[in-house]
Amino acid sequence: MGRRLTSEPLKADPNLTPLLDVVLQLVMFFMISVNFVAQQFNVQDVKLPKAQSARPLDPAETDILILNINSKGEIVQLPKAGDPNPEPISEPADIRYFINEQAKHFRALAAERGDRSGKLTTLVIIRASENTEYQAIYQVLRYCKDAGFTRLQLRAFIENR
Amino acid sequence: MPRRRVPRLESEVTLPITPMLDMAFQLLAFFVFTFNPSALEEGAIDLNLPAAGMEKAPTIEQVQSPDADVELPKDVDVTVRVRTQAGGRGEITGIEVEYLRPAAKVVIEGNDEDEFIKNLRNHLTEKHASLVNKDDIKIEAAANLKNGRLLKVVDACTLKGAGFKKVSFAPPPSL
Repeated sequence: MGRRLTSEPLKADPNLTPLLDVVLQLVMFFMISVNFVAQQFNVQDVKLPKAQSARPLDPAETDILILNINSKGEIVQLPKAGDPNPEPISEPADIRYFINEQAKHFRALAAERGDRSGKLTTLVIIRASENTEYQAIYQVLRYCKDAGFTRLQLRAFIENR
Repeated sequence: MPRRRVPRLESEVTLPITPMLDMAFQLLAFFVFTFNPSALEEGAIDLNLPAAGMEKAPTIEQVQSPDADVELPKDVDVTVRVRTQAGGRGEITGIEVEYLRPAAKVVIEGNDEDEFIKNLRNHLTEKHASLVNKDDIKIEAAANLKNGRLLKVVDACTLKGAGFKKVSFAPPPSL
């Protein structure tokens, strides 16, 4: 020992390899268990209610319009490229206008795809907060119907009991 | 001793593990923070649209579809009316079930919300087999009924409850 002290300094390198192994295992676990799909359309102030009759989603559905309704009955828009924090739409007239504009947009998309029937096959997904009043949900349903949408869906968390 | 004399080339290749570990920790932190073990899975409830022209026409004979080629929905035999206390927090204070064929009204008894829902479920389950249209049910709720409670009523009516397949919503009485 005395010899080592004089000739070369004592090296105490921790062996990092097992640590790295464990960390990578953990990373894998969290990576696999993470679920981004449900959060894709999530906005802050919409807390979905629970329902036993809610069925699992069909991931094949791509022609969709998402309407998030918060507890005050306002439509919360998803952040867009030019507008990271869009204002919620609160006035009934504005909501009606917004839905009509969306209908126009989806009709144009359908026409681009070569669908000349003029029918809107877009699935409208209503994500209403658990505290949204029935009146607000009903109004949105009616505006959707007036705008020509034919397929509607209400979202809720699946409750198993 | 003779080995010492042979000149040896010190070419030890070491993999720099520290940056890799740093990165792995970053990833770990990210996934730990996004991890949500109690995350509920989102599901869908298919709806029937409110029937065409239903809001304004005072009688059923005056209801006309704006497009002739639109298939009118089948008559809905059952309407569930959910009442709440006006100006309250939207609790269910009464449920009434109205039948079309033969015309009848049934008041669901109950003291609190859970009891109303339970009794509604039992009543509808009992009646379901004798109905002409076993698929459709209409719910007419008071304007201030909260979505969470509305879905409890929907649960009582649909597959996990009485067995109706499609729910449609009627305008609230105040509209």
